[in-house]
Amino acid sequence: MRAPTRLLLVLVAGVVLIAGAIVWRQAAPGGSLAKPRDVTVRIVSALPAEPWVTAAAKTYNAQGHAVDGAKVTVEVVPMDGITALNRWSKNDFDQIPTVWLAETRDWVNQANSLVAESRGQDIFLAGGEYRDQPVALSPEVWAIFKSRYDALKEHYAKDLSGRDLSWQQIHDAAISPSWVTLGGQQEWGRFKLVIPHPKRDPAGLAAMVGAAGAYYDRAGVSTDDLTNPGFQKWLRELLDSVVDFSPFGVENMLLFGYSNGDAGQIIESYLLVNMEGLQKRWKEPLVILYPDPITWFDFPYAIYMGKETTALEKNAALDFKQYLLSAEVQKTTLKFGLRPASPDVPAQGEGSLIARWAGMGFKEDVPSASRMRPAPRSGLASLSEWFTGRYER
Amino acid sequence: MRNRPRTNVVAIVVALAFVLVLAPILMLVLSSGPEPSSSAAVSKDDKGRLVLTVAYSPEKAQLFERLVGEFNKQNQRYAIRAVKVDMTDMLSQALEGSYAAISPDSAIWLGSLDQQWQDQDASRANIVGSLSRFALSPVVVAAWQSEAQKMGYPGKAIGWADLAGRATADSSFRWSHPSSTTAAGLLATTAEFYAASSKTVRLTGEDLAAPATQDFVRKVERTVQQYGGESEDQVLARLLSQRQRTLDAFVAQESLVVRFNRQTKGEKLVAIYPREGTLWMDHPLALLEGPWLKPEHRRAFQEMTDFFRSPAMQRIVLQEGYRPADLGISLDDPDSQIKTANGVDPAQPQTLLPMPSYGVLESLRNAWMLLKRPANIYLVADTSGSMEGDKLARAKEALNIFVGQVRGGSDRVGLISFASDVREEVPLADVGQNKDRLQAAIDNLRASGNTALYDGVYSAAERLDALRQSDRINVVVVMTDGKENASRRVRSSSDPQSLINSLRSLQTRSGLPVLVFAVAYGSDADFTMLQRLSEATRVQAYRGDPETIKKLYQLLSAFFS
Repeated sequence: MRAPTRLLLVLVAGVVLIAGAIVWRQAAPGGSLAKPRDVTVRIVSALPAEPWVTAAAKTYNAQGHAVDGAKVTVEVVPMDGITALNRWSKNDFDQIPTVWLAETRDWVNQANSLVAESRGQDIFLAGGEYRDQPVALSPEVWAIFKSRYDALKEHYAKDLSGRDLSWQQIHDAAISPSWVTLGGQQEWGRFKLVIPHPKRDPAGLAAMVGAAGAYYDRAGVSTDDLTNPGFQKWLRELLDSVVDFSPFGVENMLLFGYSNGDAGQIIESYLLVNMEGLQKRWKEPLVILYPDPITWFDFPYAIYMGKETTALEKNAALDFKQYLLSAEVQKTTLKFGLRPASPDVPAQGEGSLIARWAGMGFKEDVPSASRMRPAPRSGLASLSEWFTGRYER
Repeated sequence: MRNRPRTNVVAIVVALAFVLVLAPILMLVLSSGPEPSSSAAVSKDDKGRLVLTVAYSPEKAQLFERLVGEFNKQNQRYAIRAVKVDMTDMLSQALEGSYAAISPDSAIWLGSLDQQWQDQDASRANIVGSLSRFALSPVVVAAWQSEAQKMGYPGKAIGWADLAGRATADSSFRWSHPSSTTAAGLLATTAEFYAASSKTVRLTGEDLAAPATQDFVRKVERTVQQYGGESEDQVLARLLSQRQRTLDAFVAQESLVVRFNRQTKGEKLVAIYPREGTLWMDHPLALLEGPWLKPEHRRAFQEMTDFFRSPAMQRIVLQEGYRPADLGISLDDPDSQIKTANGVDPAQPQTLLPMPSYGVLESLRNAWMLLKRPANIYLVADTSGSMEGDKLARAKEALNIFVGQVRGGSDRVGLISFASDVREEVPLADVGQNKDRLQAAIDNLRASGNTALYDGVYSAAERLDALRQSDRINVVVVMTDGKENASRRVRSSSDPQSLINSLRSLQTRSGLPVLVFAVAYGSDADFTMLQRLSEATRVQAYRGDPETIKKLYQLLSAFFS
């Protein structure tokens, strides 16, 4: 072979090698020798926060944000925490979300510990730049129809000595044979409690853990606490007063009033967004109480750290998180019945549903109360199993 | 020979180029092609919109199609393909991945759907995911106004015992509720059990088993003329078309009363809200968390539920005679059809009964099977020559389905065939004991000869009459594909009056009513004649053909079990 021919061949081979490498890298997951022009952030969001996140994503997308030269598009997929946790544990997502906005950090930790073991790495981080971080808040509160509240308040006046109703009085009302013995009227029947379905709504399981906190009078409970026969007996007495464990128990209380429930443990944002309709359909006002200890839903924004997510996607997710946490967007939480997570943004302002319905007892400043700490995963599993055995068979 | 090395080098270069350039390109091209559809639940329409396939129960067809029509008109990204499906098919097809979402008539089915899903694979979570509601309707007793007034309507609150008392005092009063295989039937039965145990909450397995509860339910159930398996749109169509009333009262959802009254020119129906309380048909929209579900479908579902619950759509719900799920829409709205002029009362029901847990519902269904009014049923089958071939083969399948569906522990079934002569193939006996015999006899039916239809029906009625079992529903289910031409005991004629007279004579002597459900099988059958026959016994006739006969017999079986 002559030298020019050899040189030509070497040149051709070199070009081919470079071109092949470029195409190969582009095709590989996360490959980016040439930077992509677009990047999508897929957010799986808990249902109470989803309308707010979707509205924020719409504005964000319209503003044309870019990260490392790539235009960012945010997509929001509504999914309750129980379904999402199940999908994480089985790696059963059609497209792995870039971000999970769960109801509480508790659920994120559960998903992480379920998956980290098999993968040998954390998929959500508790520290550092990519740590999960709450972006909105909403507590679980008591909603009690006024006539029932007044009767209970009077009946338990001595025990309360100036304080407000708590899980203990609700429990005592639950085991009373009828409203008559509680100072109510004959036609009210028996006291009826409402809590979300614990197998369908994370707020249901949270309510049961909150009840445990009240039973033990502390803001943290262990697996032993939750499986203690004494507590389970007390809890059974309480939950036996729930008349509607259908998936629509909470909605039914608002639709059908006290024929379905006299008092409910319900997430504040759900009540706030339904309050206007409630006033039209059901004339009697509700009284809102903040329990102690109190359960907060903090909607942590958790970026998925698995290898399926590229660095660009992670950075784009980070950019949207900063956007959600900006003062301007934090203020919009109030219109959706949520509270800002940023300590710099007050829980009051234009369009605040809390302010609008303050007359019902909603408070911008939640009364001082211990925050319920997450229960251990094994305890939650036991509680869930106990519920199934008692109420679903 | 000197050229060979150069050729080799070129070949190597070409191969290298292919491996490094063409192969990745090919892989890219192949991997970026359209995704194979993983399920019939999802597809795209001609406008490129993602189509969500949603199954819904038939009774709300008008409402559902109207809402879906509006959604498809207004939404740019998603479209809904609404599929009207009977409840039994909906649940099995949901498990097979035919739908991305379903809207059954009641949430009562969702527990069993989850259970069946997990029975297939214990490691699975629930198949029922996000839930929403857009329309509700309470379960009521729909009664003709004149009949309701005899029970004290509208001044008196009427309960289940009043209904049973009316039927006991007047043997011509006929009422029915759907079989507990339907949501309305199961909810009505649940309400009966609540009433029987004097409870309005926390119905338990112990309550169901209490002797006093069982006595009450048995007494009420023994006054039922028949059960029903028809969907409410079939009931409505029949009510609007029938020349003669077959029932004085029946259980349905409130919306049926509204829909009927808006269309009829005759006497109106009124809704009786049982004073002991009632339950809701709540028409949930349920996303199915199958492996076929993609994020886009979830978003489409969310848009659909938000749209269905928007104020404009909720007003449509109200116009169609349902109660809106949106609290913001008042029942006093000008568009509301929930008004006394339509036979319903917006202030009712006063007492709402909660749905028991899945486990209690299963026990309740089993308890009802033992307490319901048992039936004596003669299946009467045409085996004349015209039935030969595929027609008879399909008819045999249908008869076997009927026998398989009768599950009541004390129901009795017998089989009579007729051609030129009448032949009792299997005498009446408890279905638990003679199921095998019935199925063998059905399989052995052979077609030949003429059509002694009247003799076949009369022979069955005569046998039932001889037993004098008035505590049971006594029924003849007759199928024929042709016209009467060979009877000898009853005068053979195209006019069924001679048979009707013979049946009346039997009833006059014994006081025992025998119901004759007639099935006109194929286009040669004389439906008008069969309709006269059935209506003379205050029930209805049905049309069937080889394609639909199995479904029809499945439906007929629900009238008795």
